[in-house]
Amino acid sequence: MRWGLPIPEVVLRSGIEPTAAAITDAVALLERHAVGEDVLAAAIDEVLRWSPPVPRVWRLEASGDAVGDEVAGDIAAANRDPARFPDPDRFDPGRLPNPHLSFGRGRHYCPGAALARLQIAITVRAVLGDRG
Amino acid sequence: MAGHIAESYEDVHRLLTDTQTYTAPAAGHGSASTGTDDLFPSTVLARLEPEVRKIVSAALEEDPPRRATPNSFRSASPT
Repeated sequence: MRWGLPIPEVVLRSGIEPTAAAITDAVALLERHAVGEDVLAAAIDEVLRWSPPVPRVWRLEASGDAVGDEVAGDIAAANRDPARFPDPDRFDPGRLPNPHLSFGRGRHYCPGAALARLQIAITVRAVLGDRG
Repeated sequence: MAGHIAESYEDVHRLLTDTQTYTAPAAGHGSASTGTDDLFPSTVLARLEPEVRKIVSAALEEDPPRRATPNSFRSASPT
């Protein structure tokens, strides 16, 4: 694993590959569910919860200025934690609240989250039309 | 967090937010966000939306959606 990627590479990778994966999942999942415009935003978040485009992230243990071992955060598992999400394996397009961790949380929350949601919504509407 | 893998919602949430205990690999490269969508506030999104629509329309025109074959979505099986 390579740490400390240059910012342009991080932005390009983060902005293209996960968004493309999320769009694909959204079209595939929402094609099977009758989702109206009124719940499209909630449905997109459910897609992101149910099938996170970045299923695992890594952090380093910190101790003062030193860094320690790698720790993996299993976003996919957390998003299906029954202690947080009732009936977590069920795809529920109207699920609210939906505090999934697919965009991270805290200081390193995905800065492109709003743009990603916009891209997904526009593509779902364009591909699925009234079905999306 | 046995095995250095956080799996529960509580543990993963703590991994992401507890900056005293954990640090992001790219932290030294200024990747921190404030935790909001402030890079793309609504005013910026409003300007971007027509551009995104154009890109999506052009992509669909160039490569129109096709009906999935039975094996297309083997990994996606909503319950």
